[in-house]
Amino acid sequence: MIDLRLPFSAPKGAAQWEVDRKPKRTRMSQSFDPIDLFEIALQRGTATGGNLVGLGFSSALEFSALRYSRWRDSGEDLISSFPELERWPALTNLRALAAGCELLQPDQSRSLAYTQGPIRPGIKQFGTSPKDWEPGGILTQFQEQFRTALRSQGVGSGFASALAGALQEMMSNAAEHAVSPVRPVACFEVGQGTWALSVVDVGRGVLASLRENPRHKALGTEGEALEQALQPGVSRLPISGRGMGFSRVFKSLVDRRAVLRFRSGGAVATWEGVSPTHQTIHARALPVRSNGFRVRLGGPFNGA
Amino acid sequence: MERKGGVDKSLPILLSSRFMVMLTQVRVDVAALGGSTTLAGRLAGEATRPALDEAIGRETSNAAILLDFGGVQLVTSSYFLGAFEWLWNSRVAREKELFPVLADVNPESRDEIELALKATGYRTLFWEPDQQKFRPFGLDRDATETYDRVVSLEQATATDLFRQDPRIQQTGWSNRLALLYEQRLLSRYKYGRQFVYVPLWR
Repeated sequence: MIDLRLPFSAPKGAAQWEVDRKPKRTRMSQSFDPIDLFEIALQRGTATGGNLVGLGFSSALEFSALRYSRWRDSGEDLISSFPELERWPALTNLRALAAGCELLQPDQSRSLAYTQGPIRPGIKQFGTSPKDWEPGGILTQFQEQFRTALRSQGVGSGFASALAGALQEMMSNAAEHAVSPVRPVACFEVGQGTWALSVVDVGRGVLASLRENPRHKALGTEGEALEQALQPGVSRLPISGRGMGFSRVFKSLVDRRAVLRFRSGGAVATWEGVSPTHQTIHARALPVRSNGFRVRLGGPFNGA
Repeated sequence: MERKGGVDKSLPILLSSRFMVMLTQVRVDVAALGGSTTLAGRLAGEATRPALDEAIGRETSNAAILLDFGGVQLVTSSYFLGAFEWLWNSRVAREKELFPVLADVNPESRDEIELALKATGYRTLFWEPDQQKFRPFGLDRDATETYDRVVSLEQATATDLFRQDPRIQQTGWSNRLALLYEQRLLSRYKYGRQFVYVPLWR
């Protein structure tokens, strides 16, 4: 799992937490993310891939994690089941960018051409090898690619650094905590006036991870675990100083109208806001569950 | 390999060198150490350890380690702890008498570092450019008062402070001074039967 801790220091009463710990029923609504809707429809046998084909790279990466998990658990390849997904440009490009990545190419048989468009994407699979993380190593370079892409679109250096920092924080958390059968994957995309990034793993998820810590052993559901994981100082490791993965960087992104989405097992949480005093974290249970932990962030950067 | 640190006498601080104390100053260029202006993630922080060891010098002891964050756009709490926590809590840093101090930290990074220090209970000195001096972070009123007394005297024993303010017993002053040493805010040397406590700068 990714060990996310989000401090929330907005003035008392200004923030609103909305957590449905045990919803009596789950309704399909516009507030569900398209990936969640697809997954719910899969379970009900009503899924169509057509609603996904317009989504960006970060959604395509999250779909890829779902696809990998299903392929591993049941042998079903969602791209074979839903041929319309072959028309999903972001997914096609993403897989072409990462031909050797097992999470994106579970069948190892597809290699599609990638055409550089107006979107500047990047993708990287990573692990815990110190060589990957050493100064100037491939992950520093990946982070710098993201920063450069942002700067080339006129994003201020402070905001670009905050985004690059958030990307690397999430990658570090995924590598450290996922306990995944395959290495996690991160991607970013920078378009005109928008940015998005995503980090996914197909590991054990938040609940199993947090339960390693005796303090959190009593956690009962994925939703409770996700709710806890978003608090500052909460970690699977009972050591002071752990559990600050996203700290204030994350909050600063929300201040810039970013939308933060977290998915673990059968729970999803979003964190949105328009200013330090108007932020909302909304966690809820889903009627479906899948492996791993996925984070997706996106937003505008006009005037950043 | 590019040198990321080293003994540097050009910075606007003077470290104690009176009597028995020979405190070296080692400046570490944190941006060069991390290979980036954006430093995030615990694993990335931990991966800098070999370069940090080299920058400090494996034989260095009795030294103020000046972590210079000039040029760093952002350092996150987890990177900071991954890279530098050992300077506060490791046996090797204690045995070598290494004292970390922080300089040229921008406001965003300072927020992150303070979050890390509060979570772990560590104290440190931040260089305050407007005051042109180092100020301790995380001390309560009594500890700050004790620290300021030592700075104003340039060095002090518990007896010195007791003479200044006999309302607090000598043992009380001794305990306060020892705590500031444990928190890596003062260095000390033994003179006769007493410890003499010395600021890391003056």
